[in-house]
Amino acid sequence: MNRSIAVGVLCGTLVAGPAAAQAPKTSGLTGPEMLDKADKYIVEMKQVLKQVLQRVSDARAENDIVKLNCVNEKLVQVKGLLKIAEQADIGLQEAVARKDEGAESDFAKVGIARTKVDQMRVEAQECVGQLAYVVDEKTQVEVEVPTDLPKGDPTDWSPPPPVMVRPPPASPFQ
Amino acid sequence: MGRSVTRTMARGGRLGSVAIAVATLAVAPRALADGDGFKIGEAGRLHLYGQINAGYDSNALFASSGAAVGSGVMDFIPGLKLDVAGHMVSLTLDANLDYKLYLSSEAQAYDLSHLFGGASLGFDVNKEGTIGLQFSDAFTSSPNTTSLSLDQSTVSNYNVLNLAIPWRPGGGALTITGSGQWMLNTFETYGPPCNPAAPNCTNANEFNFNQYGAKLQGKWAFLPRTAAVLEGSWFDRVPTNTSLSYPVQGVRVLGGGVGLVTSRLSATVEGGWGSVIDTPQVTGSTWLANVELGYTVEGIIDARVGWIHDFAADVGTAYSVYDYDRVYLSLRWVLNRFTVKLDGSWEYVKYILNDVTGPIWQVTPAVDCELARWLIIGAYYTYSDRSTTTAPGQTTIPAFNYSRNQIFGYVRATW
Repeated sequence: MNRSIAVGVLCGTLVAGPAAAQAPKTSGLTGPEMLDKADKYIVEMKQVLKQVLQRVSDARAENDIVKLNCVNEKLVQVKGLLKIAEQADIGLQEAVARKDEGAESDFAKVGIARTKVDQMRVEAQECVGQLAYVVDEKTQVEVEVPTDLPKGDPTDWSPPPPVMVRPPPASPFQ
Repeated sequence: MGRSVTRTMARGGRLGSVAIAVATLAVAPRALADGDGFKIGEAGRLHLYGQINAGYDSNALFASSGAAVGSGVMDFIPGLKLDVAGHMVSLTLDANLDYKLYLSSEAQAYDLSHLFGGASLGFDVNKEGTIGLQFSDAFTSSPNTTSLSLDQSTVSNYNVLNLAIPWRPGGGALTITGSGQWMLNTFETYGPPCNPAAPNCTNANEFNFNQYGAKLQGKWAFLPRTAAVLEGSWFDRVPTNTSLSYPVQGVRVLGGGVGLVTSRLSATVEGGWGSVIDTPQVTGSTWLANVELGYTVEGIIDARVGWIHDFAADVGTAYSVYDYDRVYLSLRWVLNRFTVKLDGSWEYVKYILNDVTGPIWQVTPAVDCELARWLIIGAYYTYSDRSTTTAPGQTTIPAFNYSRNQIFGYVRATW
């Protein structure tokens, strides 16, 4: 529920934000340049999507619910942002074809989506699960000890035995 | 001041090891391979062993002319060993007799033939747990003694009991161990009676003593095999005849680091302070040092070289407390079936009350050959030398000035 609200707010910001707020800043790019760059951004976002999907798969394999929830939340946001970016890219292509000034606005949407997706990627990497914090009777600490160490405990050191003497018996007539 | 039969518990482990070392020396210069033995319970194994030594001692005794008399010597050593390696409790027992037979035609040398022996028992309870219990008791009856002040040859009956309780809060990185020790050493005259002019020449059993000790040690293993150590110990020597030997009490405080420096190199660096306390006849204190460097390749080489500065209490009055510096080395090198060994030490003793000084040298090269898992043959040579200055008004004491060459071969079978 919270996730849906978060994504909705984010999408709302992206869709309505640049159009409703102020006039978008011009990028200084030509139409074809904007198209190339927008394509590049979308490819990058798809790569991030793949990475986050892999983390979801890892969390599932670890049976770590806390981590899975965290990464899933980022995944939903990345998917939403990617959808918005793709729609904006279509709008950008139409606007460039029409030589419409709205092209700048669509390009800005793609750029913002790409920035936010990159942020989601970082947050997904920072998702740590319950296993990072839970220490119980099942917790095992594995200490890797080099195999060529001497046996025994060298910290149980004691000095060598005192010198033993055996004075020869001597005759009383000396 | 010097070293002792008393670095109580700091030396407690050391004294315990003395008894074990005495037993081991009486038996053989090496802990040898074992046969199958008898199975005792789920984790126990009882072994029987027998050893015969045959060799020559160049100074079995001083004749009336003052000349050293050499003699052939044989040892017949039957014994048994029990090892129980349980999860909660581990136990070791080793006991043997040693009939030493002098083969000399000289009657006084032949009369040195005598039955000796030794036994040690140790168990360790809950050694992986938060609180453990360690017990050991070792007894030896031997012509060798750690007492450097006896000016006559004796049979030394030596028993040392150690009890330690290690507390390992938090998994074992920190270990605090409290321990106590009781030592009893009695003497019997051995061989011809001593020179009446000698300062401690009296019935040997007049020098019997008890010694009590306590130690508290804290050890923090900041790496798995490397630790910082701080310990304090106290000892109280109570002679049977206080007119012939001073009762001596002392304390020691030591701190430093011990353990592995690399996977093969180990080091010990400890320093501290020790003092005689509550002893009207003797006053004195000294700094303490333990420095050792070791090199170990598991199963192949074990080499150590070290230096100790310490003090000790001993029997008698004028010779009751001494300082000492000791440099030692030890090498074990396994070459297939052969084991090459070298032990040596140089100890410089300085008595507090009469300024008598002198070095004691000992060096023992040895080689073992494992013919079968249960059968070992070997040979060793020991050179010992002691020379001591003479206190004003005293004559030279033969027991403080002698040298000896011993060469022995042995065969040992363990079942």
